[in-house]
Amino acid sequence: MTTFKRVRRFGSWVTFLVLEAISLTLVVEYNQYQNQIFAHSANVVTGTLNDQKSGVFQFLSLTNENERLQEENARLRKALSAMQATVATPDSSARFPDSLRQRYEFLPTKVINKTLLGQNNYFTIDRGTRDSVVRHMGVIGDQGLIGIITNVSRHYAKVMTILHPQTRISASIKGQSYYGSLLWEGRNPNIMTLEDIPKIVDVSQGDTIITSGYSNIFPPNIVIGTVENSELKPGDGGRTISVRLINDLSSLTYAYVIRDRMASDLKKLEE
Amino acid sequence: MGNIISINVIRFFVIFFLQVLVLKPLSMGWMSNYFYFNILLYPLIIILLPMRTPQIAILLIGFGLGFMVDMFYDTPGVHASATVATAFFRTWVLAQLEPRDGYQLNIGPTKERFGFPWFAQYAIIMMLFHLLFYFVVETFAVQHVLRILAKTFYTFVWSIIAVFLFTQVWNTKD
Repeated sequence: MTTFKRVRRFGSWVTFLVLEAISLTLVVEYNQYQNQIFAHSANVVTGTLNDQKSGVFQFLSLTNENERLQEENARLRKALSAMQATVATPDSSARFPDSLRQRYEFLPTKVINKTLLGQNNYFTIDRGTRDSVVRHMGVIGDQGLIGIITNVSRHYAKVMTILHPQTRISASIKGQSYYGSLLWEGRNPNIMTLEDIPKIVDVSQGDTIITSGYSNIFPPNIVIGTVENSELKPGDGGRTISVRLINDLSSLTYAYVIRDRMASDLKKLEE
Repeated sequence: MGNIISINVIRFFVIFFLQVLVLKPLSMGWMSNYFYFNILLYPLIIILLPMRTPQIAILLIGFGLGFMVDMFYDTPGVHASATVATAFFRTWVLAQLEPRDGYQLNIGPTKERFGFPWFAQYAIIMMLFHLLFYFVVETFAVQHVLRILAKTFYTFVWSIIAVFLFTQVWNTKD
């Protein structure tokens, strides 16, 4: 082998190792501090492109979406009339104290990009700082949970979906006061795991799992899914429950960002 | 010579946008837990680069390509590391598949130049390597061997069909 060839071969080994090191560093760093380093899909270039693309693909699913939204409307109407029946019409001259005003606001949004292929799944939505969306706000669909906002640009925001290894959501079984933490084990996109429920709690298949409201990200009583099965964890006396999600993240287009009007107040207090 | 370069530049962008704007939204990931649907066509860009491309250039193109795909897939570094590895592996594969009388330098490794059987085995080896590497890095844990193999298998089946379809439609000599 000539010296020239040897130098060239050495050069490509070095290039290979350097580029591979850069890539793997990105992988590792991102997995650790995924909030700061690679805020890519919330950025303007890919965000705008994804926006256009979702415009093209959206009309393909319009009929389905329409039906879902109609169903949601029906559900809300039912809830509203039930509410009207139980609450007497308030005296219009009465002033509500602040604490009785609506605590959560729902900002409608469209999902413009989805990544549901791997272990760390993100959505991009078309709301950003312009709509006063900030980090750590919750995002829900017409049914069920979607995730938590991790990055915000002016027009877009990135949502860490519930299908992500770092997700921890405080959830409880409907009708019982015990709560545990809900996480995704990375296998089935329809199944999540509810941990740390005490052994004495009586659960049966089909029971409804709802948000507990203790995390300040999601309001209480949002339906997450139903109990698939439950097993006792050996040793520590806890119970682990598999939860079948009520929503299918791959098929949804519209979502709501939840703004908690008491968030800053609570944060100040708890610090 | 100028021709082979412009073909490759145009093909780079056509395949890239096909990948991030068409194939990505089509890919659904796990469907009902036993069927994984994901198409990765972009390694074909590396597969089809001209024979005489210097290895360092292939590596840099691979890194750039992988990085751009990562931007759209929200997977920083994962596609980049796999594409760099595939770019490095390409030289070795081509050396193994070298015909007895050697390669002509000014051509691309296409099915039009070398015939379908040669191109098919070259593309299959490259795609399998790329996908396996990709899913190992993506999962980042060796205990999930079965899931890595399942994902690689499913993705390979669809991706290699996409590769053959694309080369059937885009059948330039280089």
